[in-house]
Amino acid sequence: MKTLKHFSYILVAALGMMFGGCSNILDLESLTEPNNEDFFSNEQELLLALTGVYNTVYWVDGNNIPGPIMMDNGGTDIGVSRGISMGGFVELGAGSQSSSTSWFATNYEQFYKGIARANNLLNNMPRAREAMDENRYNQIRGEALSLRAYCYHFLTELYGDVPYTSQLATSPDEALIPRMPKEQVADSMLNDLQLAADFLPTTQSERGRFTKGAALALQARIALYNSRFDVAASAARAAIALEGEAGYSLYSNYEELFQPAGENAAEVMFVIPFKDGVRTQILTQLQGSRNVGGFGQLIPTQALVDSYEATDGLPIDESTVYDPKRPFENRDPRLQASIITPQSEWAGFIFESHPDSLTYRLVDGTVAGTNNDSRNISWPAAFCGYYWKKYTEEQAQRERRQWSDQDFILLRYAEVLLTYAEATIEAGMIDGTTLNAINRVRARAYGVEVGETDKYPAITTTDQTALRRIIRRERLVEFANEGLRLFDIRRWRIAEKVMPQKIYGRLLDPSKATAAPDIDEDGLISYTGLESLYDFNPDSRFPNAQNRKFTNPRDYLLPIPQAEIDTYRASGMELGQNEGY
Amino acid sequence: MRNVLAILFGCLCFGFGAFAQQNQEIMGSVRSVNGEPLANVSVRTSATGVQRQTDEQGRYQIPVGNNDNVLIFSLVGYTSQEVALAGQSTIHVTLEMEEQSLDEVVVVGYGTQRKVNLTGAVDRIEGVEITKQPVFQTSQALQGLSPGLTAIQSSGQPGADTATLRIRGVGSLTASNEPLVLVDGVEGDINGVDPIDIENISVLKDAAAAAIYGSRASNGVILVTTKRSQSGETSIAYNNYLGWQNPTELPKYVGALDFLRAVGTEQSVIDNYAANIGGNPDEYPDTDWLDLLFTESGFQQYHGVQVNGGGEKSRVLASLSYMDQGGNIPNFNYKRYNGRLNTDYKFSDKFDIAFDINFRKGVSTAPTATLTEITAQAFRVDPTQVAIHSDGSWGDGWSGSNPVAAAHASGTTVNDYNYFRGVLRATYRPVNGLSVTAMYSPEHQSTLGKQFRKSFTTLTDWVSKATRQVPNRNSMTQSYNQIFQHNFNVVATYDRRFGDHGLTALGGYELIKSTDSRFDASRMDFVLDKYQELDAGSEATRDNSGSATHYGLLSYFGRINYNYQGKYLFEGNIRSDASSRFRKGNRVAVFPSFSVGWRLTEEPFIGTSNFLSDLKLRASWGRLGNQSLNRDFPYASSIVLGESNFIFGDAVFSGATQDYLANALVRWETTETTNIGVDAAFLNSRLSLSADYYVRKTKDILLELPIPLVSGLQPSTQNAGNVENKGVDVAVGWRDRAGEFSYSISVNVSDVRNTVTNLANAGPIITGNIVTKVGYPIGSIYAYETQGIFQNTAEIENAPTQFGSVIPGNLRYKDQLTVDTDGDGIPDAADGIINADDRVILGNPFPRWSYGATLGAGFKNFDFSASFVGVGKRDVLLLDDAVWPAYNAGKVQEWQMREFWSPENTMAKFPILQPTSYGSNDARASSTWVFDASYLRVRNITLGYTFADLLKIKALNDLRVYASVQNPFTFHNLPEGLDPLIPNQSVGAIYPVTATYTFGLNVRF
Repeated sequence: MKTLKHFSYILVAALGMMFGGCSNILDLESLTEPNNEDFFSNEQELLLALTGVYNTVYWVDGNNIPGPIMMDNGGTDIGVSRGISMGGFVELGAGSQSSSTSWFATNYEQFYKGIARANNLLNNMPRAREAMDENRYNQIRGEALSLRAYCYHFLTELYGDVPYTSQLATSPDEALIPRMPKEQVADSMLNDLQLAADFLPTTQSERGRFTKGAALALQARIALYNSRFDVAASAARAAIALEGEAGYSLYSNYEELFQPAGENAAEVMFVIPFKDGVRTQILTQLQGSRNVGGFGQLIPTQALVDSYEATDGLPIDESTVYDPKRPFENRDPRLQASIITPQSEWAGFIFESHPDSLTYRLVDGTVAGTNNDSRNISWPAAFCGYYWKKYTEEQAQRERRQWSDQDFILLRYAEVLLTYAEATIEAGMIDGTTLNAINRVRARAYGVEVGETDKYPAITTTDQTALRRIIRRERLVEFANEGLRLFDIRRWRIAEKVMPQKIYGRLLDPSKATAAPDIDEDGLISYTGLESLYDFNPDSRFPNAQNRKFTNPRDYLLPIPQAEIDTYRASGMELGQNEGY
Repeated sequence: MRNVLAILFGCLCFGFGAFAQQNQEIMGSVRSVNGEPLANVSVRTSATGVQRQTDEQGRYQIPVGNNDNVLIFSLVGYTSQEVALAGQSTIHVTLEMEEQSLDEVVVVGYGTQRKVNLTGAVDRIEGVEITKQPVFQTSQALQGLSPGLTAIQSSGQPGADTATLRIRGVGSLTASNEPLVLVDGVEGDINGVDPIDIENISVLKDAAAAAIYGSRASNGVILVTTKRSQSGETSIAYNNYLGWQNPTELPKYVGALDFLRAVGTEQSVIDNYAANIGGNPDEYPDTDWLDLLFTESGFQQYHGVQVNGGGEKSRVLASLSYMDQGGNIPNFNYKRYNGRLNTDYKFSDKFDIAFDINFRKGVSTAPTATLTEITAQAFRVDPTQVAIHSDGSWGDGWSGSNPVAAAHASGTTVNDYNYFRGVLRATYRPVNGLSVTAMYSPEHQSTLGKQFRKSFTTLTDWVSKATRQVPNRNSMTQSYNQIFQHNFNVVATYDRRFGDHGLTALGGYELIKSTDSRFDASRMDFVLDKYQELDAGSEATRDNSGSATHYGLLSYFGRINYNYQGKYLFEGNIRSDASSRFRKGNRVAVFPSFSVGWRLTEEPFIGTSNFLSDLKLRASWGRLGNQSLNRDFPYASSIVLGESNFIFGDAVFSGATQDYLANALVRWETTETTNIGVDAAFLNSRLSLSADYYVRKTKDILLELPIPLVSGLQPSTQNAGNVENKGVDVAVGWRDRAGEFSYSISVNVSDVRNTVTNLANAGPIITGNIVTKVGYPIGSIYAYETQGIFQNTAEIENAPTQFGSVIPGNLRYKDQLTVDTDGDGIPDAADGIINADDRVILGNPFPRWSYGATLGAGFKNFDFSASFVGVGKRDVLLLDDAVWPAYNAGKVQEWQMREFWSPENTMAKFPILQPTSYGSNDARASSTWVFDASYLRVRNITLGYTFADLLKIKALNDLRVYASVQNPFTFHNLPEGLDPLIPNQSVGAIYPVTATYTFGLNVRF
């Protein structure tokens, strides 16, 4: 018993010793996270931080659908989504959006996250300056500056005047930044990109990083969007001047450019990258045919189909080669390259969207089964009777595979050319280089060289008004479903015209069509008098996809997110809302 | 079989017993110790069981039979007495006051206290109150047992059906509102303790009672004490129960044809559908998704063995139990194995140790598809989609979303939780009155998660037999999480009486250090999905991640209790806590409390009487803290690695980002509670009353105040704002017996009014449809106010601009006064546009006027109990598939067909039944979708029968059988199909709460 008692004393003493000297349990440091104050001290850390900035290029939804796709298929006249939120742009199209539409806050936050990460890197990177190679240092700086401008350009185009900062907030009050006029933000972006272009190499060993050419391309785009046509023209000219050194060219096959085969094309300047096992997207499923497992959810409109020229280079209402009874013949090849049209072959079967086509056939003519692309079979089928071919991976559809790891292009060389053309047209600097830039893009559409003017409808006019109409149509069809349309209809001030329209689908019976619909000088297609020829899906289950509403001028900009207004207001500051919200 | 015969025989004997012969009368009187006659004393004969009561003068008269040799005298509040007849014909008896009720001991922080001496607001719940209800999760059984303690169970999912506990409302916004739960003095999980192992539970409600736990106690403290073997007692008990479950409520949906009509399908399509609907279910289905989903019985069972034994020196209580709970949806299951060994060894009068071991394993299984994919989709996918084809193949549902297939064939997610804890407690008493206890408890928790997402094949086309894989690729994630915690404390207690002065002093030191680490790994493309181990997946898709964190808490504490003649009571507590979660300089805080009590019945000028048995007044004040932050290093500007990667070329590069805005100044949140209470007992303690009024003020609330999105950072925790909770807790109990019929009723009511009093000159804080604003409760519902329904286009044209295209039958939102035209600072005009400025506060989702009632009754060998819980006032905002018809291509409920607007039903409360989608005018958070969620629920009804004396089986001491039902009836005002405990802002992704029918057996040898 005595032993036990002694044992117990020892036990208590031992426990006491174990924990007596344990006051250091309070001086703990994070096991996983370095401190900001010690970071940015060498090249490795700068590269880690730079990758963190690139990460915000993933402006995507939960299914990794790129933001630009969401804009085109909700907020513009060329595409429609029959229900999914599409980053709030479906609501924008229906005119039912409000400052509380949660996606508008998500989008806003996404870009400011990129800006904060870039600012943190740019402000703190001098700590590593001594420890690393100057070229590497400048390259990292150039990439960060480009990414910051990339984020601000989306913010200004979506929201107009936005808060501008080049600092990382260290307290909530420091983040109460007032809105800056878009013009001034543009100055900063253009300056940053000029600096970036100076710092950046023409080529990067790792594909996907910003290069000198990409920085110039973005600078040209931003200048164009802000009507600084001379800046846009000179930036684009500078990018074009790099053509040889950087190896830029237009990929010969327009359709293939948006399939996996075109992923490494020399035309591609900046992308949202995807990779199996890391990050994949399901555009193929959302855009794909319901007969092969797709959802047929994002759909091109009849208005877009009718915007492609005929092969004589004229709009279909002016063309002599366009036959209303054969609407898909003698058309700009980009129509069939971008859109799956009725009776065309796709993924081994013949696509047909007529409501009365209750079965569908394989390419060899055998009946394959019930036609889920007919809305009489499957009501959410091809809302307008078409599917996007662009970014719908044909091989994936053949395999009934829904995911794809195809990169999504954010900047490509064709845009540089068309930006150059538009900038020179608007600046009144029209010359042979203007026409050449447009014609290179048009020639590629036909798969021919720019000089082979007998094989494609080359542009020859030098009339500014005529060219303006041509360049706008060219941008519309060249970049359909790439996310450039929303900002174009805004800056051309035609959204109020093209948006509040009924969304028609395909011709129900082309044999009854006698004339093409009228197309006005802004590209607005009028179906007045022809309504009965076109399909109109009466199913009310996706009300957003039928009628569009546009409140002028409100809908030219997104509302500043209510959450942000509330946060500022909670600190006693008015951020201000866009007109009409 | 033999036992059954014995039981039958016993019943017969019992029946005939009443006819036994009576041949003698005995009379006498009963008095109290001070000579007062006692009325209503029950007098019973031992064999014949005849019973009489004493009259006002304490006199009685009773016939006795030949076999009777003892008379039993009993009265509530007095010790019952047995007197041998021994041939006497007159028997006078003196009954003594039941000492037990005075000496009842309540577990308090780091010790125990006599209930009469308590000065804080402490509630004691007996273990039997918990075991009466056959529930797996102890938290569920706490519903309605203690005023001020709310237990809200809003899911019926096996293993996830725990109740959320809140003591006296909500004090915090972003820090936790969970009460601190200690099991035998060490932080633990109340749901991890097998109910039969629970001796009692103390609920420490006010700051005076909880202050000894300092920085962790601001949400109140729940102390669970497990059973220990009592000296000399040896027994084996076996308990079991078997049960079945059913959802309390399920929505009812209209069939295929009604649905097609409701969404405006073309008549020709409907006619065609109607012609084929009976004969061709593969192409023209009329699917009842819920009927196909809720197919299981939800069988559950429990078996537990508890062994008690020991002698003077050493005592052991060992218990082992197994529980298995199925769900009504296939593939849901929860199994738990629980073991406990509580041993006590007494070395000498001065020294003893307790050595406890507790382990449990909880294995929860669920389909890998989430509730969003299962229940929310079952509440959405319309009846014209196929669930299962006639050849047994899966239908494609809604573009591959088939909730029935998802429940059956999406693979399973198994979480295997293991818990082990050892407690070594050594107590040394060097001199009389002084004891020193050292306790060390290492605690290990680990969870091995294995989530295999199978692909199943659906038939997208009945004719071509085309198929779809859902999802396209199968995948598996395996994860491991481990938490290890040291708990150590030393407590010295000195307890002495100096004449009229009673003194207890306590001092202690405590240390807690916890480390939490996890990793997970995943792969995709398992060619053979039968082999569900990572190696069987595609190497190209392997991925992994991991992280770890830790924190420490170091504390000193002390308490003094003083009483004068047991009349005037005083208690003071103090605790100093230092936490690693705060930067040096902000790390230490001190939490004091004081309380006083006055036992009026000890005063000679009041004293006790037949009417007044006990009366005590209490008052207390104290300060508590909250350190439950969601991050362990909120003060540091940390760089997060690995969460912001990017792909260059085909290679993945690691990114590093600062995600949070650091706040170096962050410190404790403090709560001060002032409490006034009264405890009273009347009518020889048959009626008891306890009432408290309190004001609980939380200062420097740890808030994640939204910061501008422009910062690009997530908000870190700040100390900003004050919240006040004012409330009352009242409990009334009555227990009595009339002859062989004994009964008790206890009722408790509590109310708490929550008000945000300050938000550091900031606010309102709006997150979605929730607002926190000075002057209103935390988390109030914030949405548009509906002003009826548009009846015609003229009304629409003259109304303020609503959202998008509006037609008659749509909701009309009120344009609030938001413009100040005369410059007096008060908005006096509307702006003509419905926008975010028109949102107003529309209700409070936190329950008010919570009440509970328990009825208990015994008659001979029958026992009966029933309990009720309810809430007098609560609002919920419901959204999406929960209440919007045909939302986002979803389906339509029966009540919606009846109660929605139509040109014939213009007085309807709800708008036109029209398919809605994101951004539709009506599909918005508005007052139309705010519902009254008050309710009254019959929580439990149990009827038991004890075969105590009847079975003359030697070893068997006790045999009780019972039948019990949980949640059988609920009265509420929500639309049909919704349970009133549905969470606020629910969109329908819920696992419905169930009603359970149980049969059980308790045996003791």
